[in-house]
Amino acid sequence: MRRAVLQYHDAPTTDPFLLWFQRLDGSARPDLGLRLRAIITNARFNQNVRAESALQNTIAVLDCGLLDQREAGDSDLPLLVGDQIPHASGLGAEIFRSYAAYLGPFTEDR
Amino acid sequence: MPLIWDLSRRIGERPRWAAGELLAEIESHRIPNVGAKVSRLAVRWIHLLIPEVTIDMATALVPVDRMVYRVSVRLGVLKAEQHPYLGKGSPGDLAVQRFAARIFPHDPTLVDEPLWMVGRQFCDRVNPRCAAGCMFAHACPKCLPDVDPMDIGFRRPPAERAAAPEPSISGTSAGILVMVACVGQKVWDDEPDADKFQPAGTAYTSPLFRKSREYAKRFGRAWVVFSAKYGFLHPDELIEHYNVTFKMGGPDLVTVERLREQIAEKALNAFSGIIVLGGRPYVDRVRLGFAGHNVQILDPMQGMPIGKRLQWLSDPEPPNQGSSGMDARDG
Repeated sequence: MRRAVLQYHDAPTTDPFLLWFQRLDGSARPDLGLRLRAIITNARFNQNVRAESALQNTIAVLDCGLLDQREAGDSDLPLLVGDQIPHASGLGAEIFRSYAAYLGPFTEDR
Repeated sequence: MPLIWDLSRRIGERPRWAAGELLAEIESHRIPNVGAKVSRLAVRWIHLLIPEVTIDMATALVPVDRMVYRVSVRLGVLKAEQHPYLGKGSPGDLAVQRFAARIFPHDPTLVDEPLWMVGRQFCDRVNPRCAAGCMFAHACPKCLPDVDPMDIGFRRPPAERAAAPEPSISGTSAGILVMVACVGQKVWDDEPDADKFQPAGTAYTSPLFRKSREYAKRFGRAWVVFSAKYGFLHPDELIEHYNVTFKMGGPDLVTVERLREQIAEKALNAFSGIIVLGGRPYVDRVRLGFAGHNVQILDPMQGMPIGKRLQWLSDPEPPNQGSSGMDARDG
C-alpha cells in the first residue's frame, strides 16, 4: 500500500493550480507574500468550484491586482466564474456577492 | 482582503513551521468560509510550493472524512465496529492517524488524497468497483463490501458537521447534494410508541422515501431531507411528528425566506449541483431558494408519477449534471 501511495504522488500532477503555480514560479517569481495570498485564495475558490474554475478566478483576481491591495473591497472584484457559468455578463454582481464573503472587508464579523 | 494579507504576512515571517502550528495560525484568522479542509489544503500547497517556508509535516494529521473512513475500513486499517469515527481523538480517528504515521512518519498526510480519491472513484458505498482501476486493489482485503462502513462506524460530531459540506481536497468540485422530499408516512405511524424526537433521515418510512434515501447515499456527496415544515434538514437533525404538505398549505409551511437562511447557515450553496428527489412544489422552492447561487438544480424524476419514480429509483441513472438541469438563477 505504501508503494501505491508513493506511485500516486510520483505521478505528474494534473492539478491545474499546481501546474500553473509551478510555471509561475519558474519565470519571474513573485514575492513571497503574493504567492502565499494566491495559494490561500485558490484554496478558498477550490472549495466551491472545479479546480479549473478556481484557478481561473485566482488568475482573474491576480491579474486585476487585487492580491496586491490590502484594503481591496468587493467593488474591486473582477467577474468570477463558477462551474456551470461561462463568462456571461450580467451575472457578475451575484457572483461577486458570493465571493465577497472571503475577499471583502465587509464581512469580517460574520 | 486584510485578513488574507495579515495571514500571508504572518506565515512569511517564520521560515519554519510545524504543520499543526500553521494550521492553527490559518484557522485563527477566521477568514470567512475557510474551514478545516481549506486550511489543510493551504498547508499542503504551501508545503509543496513555497520553498522559503519549511513545514514539518510529521505532526500533521490526516483529515478523516467519509471517503477516508470508508476506504480505511475496506483496506483493513480499522474495523468499523471497533473503531467508530466520532470526531477528532475517537477510535476511528486514532486508528487512521496511527496507520498513516506508521507508513509515512515524515508526512502522514500523504495517505489522505489517495484514500479520498479511491473513495470517490472506486470504493462505492456498496459493491466497490475494485477492478475499475483502484490503486489498492492488489493488496486490499475488501472488508465489508456489501455494506457501507460509514453506516456502521462514521458519526460526525455536531461541531464538525457545522463545517460541512466538505470542500474538495484534490481539484474536483464540491460535488452533488441530494435533497429528498419528505413524505406523509412517518415512523410514528408505524410505531406509535416511538420516541417523540427522531432523526430526519429515518423518521420517514414510505417506500418512496427509503428508495430516495438509498439513491442519495449512493450518488450524493451529502444529502438532506427537504421537509415541508422544517426545510432543509441534515439526516441527523431531530424532528417531531407533523402533518403538513405544500399542497395543503397553511402557516406551518417553511417559507422561501427560511430556506434561504438555511442555505447560508448550512453552506448548501457550496455544492456544484443539487439533485431534488421530490415533486414540483419541492423543486420550485429549491429553485427559488437557490436563486442567485452558483449551483445547478437537477430534477431527474421530473413529471414521473409515483409508480414511475419508484421504478426509476430501483434502477437509477447516475447523476448527469449536463442534462435535466436548471440553473438556479433561472428561477
